Amino acid sequence: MEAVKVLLYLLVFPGAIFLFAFSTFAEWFDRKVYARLQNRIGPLHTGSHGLLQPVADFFKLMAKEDIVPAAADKGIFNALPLISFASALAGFLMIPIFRAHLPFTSFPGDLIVILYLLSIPTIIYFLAGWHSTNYFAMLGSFRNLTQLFGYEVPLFLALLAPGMLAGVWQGGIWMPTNWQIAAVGRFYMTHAYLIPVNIIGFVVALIALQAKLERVPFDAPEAETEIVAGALTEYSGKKLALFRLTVDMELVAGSALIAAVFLGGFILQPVMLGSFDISPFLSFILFVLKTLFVVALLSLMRALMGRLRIDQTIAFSWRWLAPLSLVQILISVALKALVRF
Amino acid sequence: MAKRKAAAMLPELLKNFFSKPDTVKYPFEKLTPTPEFRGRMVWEADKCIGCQACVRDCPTGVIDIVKAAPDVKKFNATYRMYLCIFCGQCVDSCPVHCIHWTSAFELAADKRQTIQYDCSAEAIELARKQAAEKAAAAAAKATATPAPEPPPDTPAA
Amino acid sequence: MPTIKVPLGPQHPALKEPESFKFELDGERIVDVDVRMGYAHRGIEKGFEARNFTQGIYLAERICGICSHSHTTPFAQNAEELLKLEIPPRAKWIRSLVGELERIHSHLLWLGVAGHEVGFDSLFMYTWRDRELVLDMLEHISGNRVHYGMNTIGGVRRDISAEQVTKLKEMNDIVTARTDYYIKMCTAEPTFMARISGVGPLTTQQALDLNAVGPMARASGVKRDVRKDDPYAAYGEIPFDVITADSCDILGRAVVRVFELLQSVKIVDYILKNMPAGDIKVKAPRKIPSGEAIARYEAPRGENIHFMKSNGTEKPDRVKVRAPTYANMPATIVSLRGGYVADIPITVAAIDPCFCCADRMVRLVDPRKGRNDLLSWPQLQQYSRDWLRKMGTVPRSERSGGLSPIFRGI
Repeated sequence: MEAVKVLLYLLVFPGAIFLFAFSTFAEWFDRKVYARLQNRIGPLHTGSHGLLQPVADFFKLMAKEDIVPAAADKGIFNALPLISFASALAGFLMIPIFRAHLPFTSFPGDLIVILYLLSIPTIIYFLAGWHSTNYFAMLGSFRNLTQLFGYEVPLFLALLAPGMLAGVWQGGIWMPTNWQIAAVGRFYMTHAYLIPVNIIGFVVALIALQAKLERVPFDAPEAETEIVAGALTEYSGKKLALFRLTVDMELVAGSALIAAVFLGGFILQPVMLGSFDISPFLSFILFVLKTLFVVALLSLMRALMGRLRIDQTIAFSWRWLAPLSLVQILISVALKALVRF
Repeated sequence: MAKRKAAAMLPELLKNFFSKPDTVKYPFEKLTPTPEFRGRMVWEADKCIGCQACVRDCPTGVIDIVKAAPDVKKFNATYRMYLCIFCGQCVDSCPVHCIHWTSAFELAADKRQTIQYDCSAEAIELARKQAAEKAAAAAAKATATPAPEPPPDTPAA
Repeated sequence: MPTIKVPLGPQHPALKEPESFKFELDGERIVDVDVRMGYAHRGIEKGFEARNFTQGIYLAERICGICSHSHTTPFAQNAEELLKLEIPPRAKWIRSLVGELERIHSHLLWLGVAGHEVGFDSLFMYTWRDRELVLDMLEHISGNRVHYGMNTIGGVRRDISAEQVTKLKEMNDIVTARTDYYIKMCTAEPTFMARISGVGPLTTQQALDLNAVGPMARASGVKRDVRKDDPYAAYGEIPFDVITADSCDILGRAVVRVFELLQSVKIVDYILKNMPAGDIKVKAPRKIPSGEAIARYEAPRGENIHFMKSNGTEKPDRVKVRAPTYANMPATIVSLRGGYVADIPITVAAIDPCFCCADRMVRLVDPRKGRNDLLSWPQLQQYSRDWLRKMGTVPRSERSGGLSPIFRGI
């Protein structure tokens, strides 16, 4: 029975099928917001209001011809999409969606684990470009790693700052945080007045997440007008479908992570409707709304700016993002030391 | 030149987010072209004097004028619309002004022959007669819609 | 570090038209560029020789889509000069009007394309939305959004009515307001400025040595504009400023184009107020006496030169077109050297390339033997028929339908 429950959890909800549906929905939402900001309509005809457009794109890619370059290393070339897909999926499982979760997806330290799991796709893109034996792909993968050196530090620091604040006083002793996203969320739901304290970290994390997802203004690794498609130039067919799904999943996982860490967790008190506790459903809806809010902010950032060159991205990251994330860490430390709550 | 400002386009983007999109959902919503739009040409074959000025001046060789009948001075114009670039030079070159513009632009067809028009006078007569018969039948069905405008030429078989 | 040779094109997302660039790269730095043109060659100059002058106008128009009026006007001017025909003043003013409207929509198009090449897609969408206004006005005046077909030998084909004048004035106000917004927004947007400021440098001396034309030269401080240096149509009577910039980089080229756009709006206003009344065309004879004529025109991309040689028949003997993009290619190569790979799309886009205008001659190079031969027209026909037979297809001239009626005369 336990095994069936685990399998359902992993494969159906909130596992693979739910994540597929949610990430395609998030891509649709992103495309619609981007289009409306530009005075256009966005996807319209596939499904009602174009909701099925990303699903249609996925299945179209699955049906296309899959070409492997003759000089490429076939084993690694074929395995890379699966590894990145698996790590993005595993990363999303760590995010608490509503109260009932399984012990092996929410444990002390899962904030660190999810950050590592979400870094794996970036390394995979580097390897994908490297093994494609195409100059454009190689250039894309170099830029990928270069950009990794720019945004990774601010992203980690900014995401850890709220966690640092989220310990508890127990009998006069400060219990340090245990880096569990669910615990961080619980802390901020009980101390909701502390959410605005992390505003700098929120902005830094948003910008760094945009760089991680390689979207404008940080999509130098994937600049369509310069290097065709960057590291993924040689991928086609099913492998490209999996890579694109991985990008969507990273979008959802990254946004959900930021929402969970910065915008509070799930509803703690039971909300009774008749004799039925509907707080898990309300928590779920709250989770979806918060994630879509973050996705909307990312779409706004995408429409707002042009693409930066790779050297300008690194300069910007180290000149602005890293110091600001350090400032956020300092704020968290200072508050923790000075105020008792 | 303005000073640098982060997120310079933000007010415009937000304004457009809350207004109606500029895109027309063609073909579910249609845009009518202006009356001066150069769509396909139509002939009044009755007036044609067979001077071949349109044939000489057409940049793509779209028109063929032949005598319609050996005894009468009437001419057949074949208009190969699949070659036409809709420049309208034929309209300007014709000395008796028997070619006219229309604004028709939804002209795609599956077969080349569908858009090759034979603009002979008899075909016009026949088409007018057929259209009048259809209109009489429709009026007899006691609906209030007016009779449709007969097209001046018909597709070649 | 050894350099790598990387091809960009002929098919590439950065290029709107095919062109083969072979870059020599040192990491992300460009060391040198080799340009191979000719992918958009269509045999248009030969096509002129098979058509009479009236048909030739429409062929000249289709050399390019966005600079169509820039080709028909010098073509018609050449024919009128050979005929020693004086066209009515109103026709000249209408030619200038359509030319300036073309400049407005071409520069708005360029602004959008520049935005797209640096990844700023929102600018692309907005400028092209505003460009629709200009295209609707051109449709009102001439019957089509591009390929207006306004010119004919002896004048213009359509007149401007009072209602169109009112609509044009409204359009002018909207375009001015939007362009002012783009100037304000683009110069304030830090990512856009970071990508175009200081990129693609071309000093004044290099612009003069390499014969850069149009906004490319004017952005390096070279004050050359055919409308002022060698006035044609009605430009001798219209006051306007020639915009130059000193920054010698892509920002300068953008500034020149956008302010030229505003100048064009003012020119359109002036034309609408001061256009003389009268006829719009005179009847032109079909046969043109022998002679040679040259006409220069300031296209949105630079100086466009047409040469025509006639021999007393209905068809021209030789027409030669030198498009501005052709003249700007050496300057592009120099401005690309020393830049980053990331700057390639915007540097190439900064000359507003129109390769279909520029590809007028093709030289065949045999890569195995390293020879380059020049083939005459009958030799080229024979070569193409032999190649088709080798591929297993029957050449068109040997099929039952024969050649299309246009080519029966050759």
